[in-house]
Amino acid sequence: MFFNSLNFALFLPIVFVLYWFVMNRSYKLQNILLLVSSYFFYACWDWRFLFLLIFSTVLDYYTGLKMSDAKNQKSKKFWFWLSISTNLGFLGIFKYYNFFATSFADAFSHFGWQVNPWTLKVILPVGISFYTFHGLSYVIDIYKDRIKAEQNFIDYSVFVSFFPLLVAGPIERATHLLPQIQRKRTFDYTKAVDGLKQILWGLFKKVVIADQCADYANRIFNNYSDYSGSTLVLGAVFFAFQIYGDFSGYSDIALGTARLFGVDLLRNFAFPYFSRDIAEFWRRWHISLSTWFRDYLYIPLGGSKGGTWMKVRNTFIIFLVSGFWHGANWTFLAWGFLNALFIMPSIIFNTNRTNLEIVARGRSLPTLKEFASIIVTFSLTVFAWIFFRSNTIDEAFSYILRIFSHSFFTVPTVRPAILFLLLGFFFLIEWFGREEQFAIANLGQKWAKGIRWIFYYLLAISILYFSGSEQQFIYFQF
Amino acid sequence: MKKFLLRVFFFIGIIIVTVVVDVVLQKNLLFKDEDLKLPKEISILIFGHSHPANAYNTEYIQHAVNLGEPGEAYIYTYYKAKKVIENNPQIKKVFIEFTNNQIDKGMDDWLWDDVHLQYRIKSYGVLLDKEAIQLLYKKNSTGFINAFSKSLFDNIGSLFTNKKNLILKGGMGKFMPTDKIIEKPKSDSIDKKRKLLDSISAYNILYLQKLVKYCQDKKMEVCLVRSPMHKSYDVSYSESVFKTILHQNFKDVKWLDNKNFPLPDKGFQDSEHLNSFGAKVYSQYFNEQVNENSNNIRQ
Repeated sequence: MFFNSLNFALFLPIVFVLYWFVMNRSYKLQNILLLVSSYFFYACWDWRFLFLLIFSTVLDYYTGLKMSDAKNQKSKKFWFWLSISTNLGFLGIFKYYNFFATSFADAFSHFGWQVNPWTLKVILPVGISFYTFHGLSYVIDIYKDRIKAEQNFIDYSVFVSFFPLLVAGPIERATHLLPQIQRKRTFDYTKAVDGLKQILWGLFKKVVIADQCADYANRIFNNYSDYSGSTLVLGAVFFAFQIYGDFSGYSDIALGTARLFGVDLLRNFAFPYFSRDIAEFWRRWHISLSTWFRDYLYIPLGGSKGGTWMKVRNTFIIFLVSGFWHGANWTFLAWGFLNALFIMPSIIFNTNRTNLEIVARGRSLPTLKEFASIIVTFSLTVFAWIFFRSNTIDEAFSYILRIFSHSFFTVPTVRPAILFLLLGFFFLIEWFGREEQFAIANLGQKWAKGIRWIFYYLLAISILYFSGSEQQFIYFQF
Repeated sequence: MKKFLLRVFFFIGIIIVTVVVDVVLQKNLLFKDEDLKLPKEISILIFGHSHPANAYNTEYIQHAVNLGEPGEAYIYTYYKAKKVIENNPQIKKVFIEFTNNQIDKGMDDWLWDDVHLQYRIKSYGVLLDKEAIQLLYKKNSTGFINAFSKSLFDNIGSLFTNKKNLILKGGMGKFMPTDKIIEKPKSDSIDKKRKLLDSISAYNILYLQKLVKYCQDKKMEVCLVRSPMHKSYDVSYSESVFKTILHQNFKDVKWLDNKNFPLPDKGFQDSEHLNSFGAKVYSQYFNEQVNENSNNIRQ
């Protein structure tokens, strides 16, 4: 069940009504409802993988309890590694086994040894990377004595499976989400209205921006040898907006939906394309994953405490792992590697925390220097997206080589006027809303109510109009 | 909570009212009866997909209008034909293209896949009845809803344009000439993919039957016709099934098989479609068949 489907449009109000009107006597009843509806939501995609989700939940819940009750460090360590290895084992089998098998076979073939690897014919369970990381953070936090093991299985299961975040995040932390699940939630009008606005904006990003960009990005990337260099640049820019609209749109819908149930999820995007350097970009893009890697990989590896060499090494490790997390393909590794390279100057010269505030706070326009920094950062990001979007490394290089041909200086052959207008509108709204949690959170607060409603009405109508073929969210595959 | 729900219902209500008003306007304004009137001398209608759209140049066929449209499945032809016939009691003869690819299971895509739905619902969505809507919704609910919502807006412009003589202007199908000539025609180049007919499209055939019955009930002369095809187009993959369906389901319907009408290669744009030259030659012949000597039409 996709967020942008009719099924979800029916599912959400039903769960909402049951949650606030039928199960409102206690938060425990509400949690049971959330769990059942989350499992239903997941089963709509493929009910067979529901067992994997339940198994993973039971495993982490049980090992969490065992670690808490462990009499000695050895026993605690045993349960810890059991959970970690099983979780990563499942992830490895479903997501990475075929990649390693074929990569080894390819490597052997370079030495003249022909190996026919045994590959698995399985589809990737949707959301496995996300709920596995939920579980891992929970188990690691218990092992490190940061939190106590959750005693209530229902509460823990809701933490792992809460349907707004189940298939594509944000990747939650037990310290943030579990306390909200364990207490009574009361209906908050302002929060609910904010939630609806965020859902509306998320749908606009997904249906109007991402899906329309996808049409052109797919056409250009799939037939890149037929297009001029300038058109290929445009194709990469379209993909940059596609993936941003798609994933941040999904996150907005997830956060907005959770707010309708009185739950605040972690923010996942903070206007990353207005970043002035790559370090800032990574503080604003897929924040829940970046902070996960920071807390559970970068810092345990020594973080930035061991001198420049250690910082460089650790940065490369987390970017490569982050790339690999996105998918079992060399292109994702290359994308991670490129981002590590881009961020390296600021790591070496210790300038990675220069731009912490959103650009031009309190001002309408950026300075010339800020503007130039944004353009450079955006260009680097778009360049890296070419690897992310391409099917193979060879394809990515061919795409880039073709960009830097003489046809770079021609007028692009693809010039979708309506899409340019939409992107212009989108850019303006994002720019003027950049100091808020999401672009339209406070937009129009000074407008007359009627004008504000017309704005929301036009957003809804445009979503209805552009809702062509239902497009899957990109991050479902991760 | 009450305030929240009231506002949500109000907002959704506005959207629903917008949609309902739009649908009502489209129902009443897109196909107005007076816009669908054909001249009194027009008494022959030709329906079907791209084959007839490319084959029948009505400059050479007296009293006829070509309403063929590329990619049109019979369900849409049925509702379109009903609307045209209702408004033109002078129609005496209806020719409906019936050829091998129209029995193929692949026709189901023409009925309800996302792309075809978007195009057809925009064109003829307001003509569909409850039964057709239920069928299309059942087969592709998301595609149908999306196509419907898109058509609501795409057609707004059409509501206010002058649609007088809509049919003669080609708004419901037309002759589509092209000067393209078939490349490297080879008599033995059989498309290997067409070797087998997987299964048939029951719904496409069902709506052809409905269309035929509707015309018969209106006491019109109905004729199924197979337009010329290039010799390189191999029909053997489906011919026996095709003939069986023809004899079993349409045994009381006239059948005009012009598949092997002698045309040179320069009369085809590809193995299935005529070009302008082929259409001229064939249309002149067809005119003789239907207007001068109706005995040429065999039962």
